[in-house]
Amino acid sequence: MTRRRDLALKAVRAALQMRSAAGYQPWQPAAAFDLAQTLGIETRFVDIPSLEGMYWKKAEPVILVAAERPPGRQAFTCAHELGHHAFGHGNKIDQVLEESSLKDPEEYLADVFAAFLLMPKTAVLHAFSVRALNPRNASPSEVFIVAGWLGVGYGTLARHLQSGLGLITARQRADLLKVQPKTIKRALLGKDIATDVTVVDDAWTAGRAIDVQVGDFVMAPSGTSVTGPSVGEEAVIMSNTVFNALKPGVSRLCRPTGWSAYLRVSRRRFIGRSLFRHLEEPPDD
Amino acid sequence: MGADEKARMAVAARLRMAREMAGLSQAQVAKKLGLHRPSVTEMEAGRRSVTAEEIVVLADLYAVSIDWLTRGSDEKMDLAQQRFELAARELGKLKPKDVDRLLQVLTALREKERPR
Repeated sequence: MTRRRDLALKAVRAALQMRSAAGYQPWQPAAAFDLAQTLGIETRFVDIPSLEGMYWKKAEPVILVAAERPPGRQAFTCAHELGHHAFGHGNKIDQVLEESSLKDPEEYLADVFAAFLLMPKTAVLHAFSVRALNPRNASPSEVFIVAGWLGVGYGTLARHLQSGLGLITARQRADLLKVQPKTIKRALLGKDIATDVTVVDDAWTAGRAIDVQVGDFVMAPSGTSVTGPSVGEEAVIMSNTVFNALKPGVSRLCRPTGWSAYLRVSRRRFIGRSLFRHLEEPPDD
Repeated sequence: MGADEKARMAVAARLRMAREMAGLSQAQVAKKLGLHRPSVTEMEAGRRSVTAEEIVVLADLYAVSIDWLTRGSDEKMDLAQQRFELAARELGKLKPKDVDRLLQVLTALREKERPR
């Protein structure tokens, strides 16, 4: 137990160090794939279904992430591999969904590292307080919105709120996990969708890029406008404008207040270098 | 088919595979290289020769090794090498057909050791 605790402390410290070295404020969300790029690590999405992720240790290190996974899970996997990188671990092929208790120490270390790289307590508490929320009594859709801002999956955040941060009880966590993301998405959009929705509310930090895939939806307060060819305006729901990601590329969301953020659209289940995931298709010549 | 033509076709096939692994379309590559799209199509069909400079630029764009792009690999030796570097315990986590795919990807990305 003590050994686990020491490992966890080591992992949390390393995660916070990597965040601050990359220029993130403690309260800011971190983007795992941007971070890997900043560190000069070649990161690629691959069509290898039984692989969750891989860290390849060499002079020019490589991270591989399975293309066929939800984006939140891919971000967590990328962060997990960044953990192996930070600790100088050897070549690792990973399946992140194993139970932590069964894992060897290096896997445990990388998992805790990933959780605190993407969901440090300061950023999580900030995300709730800036929305006038408290994790202790937040509704599933509020937890869902915070998970979107942090760039992690709903279930991942629900579990971390309890086991990693001790901000909610096991009972509250179980209650949150009873609600499926698809139910929350239906409540938000008023229809069933097979893709994702990100809620870019008034508390969404200016400059925090919104990463989506073709077919995904973005809900933003009325008055938000979009420039760029990759996104269309779909509907207005309860004083929110709903945008639909149409094709790969980088657009920009703006508000009359001066707020703006990039909206980066990638192909669905993109296979390739992470560097090219938002590259626009040139017009036919 | 002569030996030269065989080699050219093999390079062409690897150019296509490397581009697909990088997640780029022929049109995107053409734009990045300042070429017309048919030039990229022709290269990948083995109907147009690829200059040394283009090989260097493409290897960089696709982030694959120049050695692999130009000469391919002694598959048996490289795969054996990759298996050696990746403990069996690691590879055992994957389905057999995924092991082959992974070793193929790693071989393309692998730079031969060079003295520094």
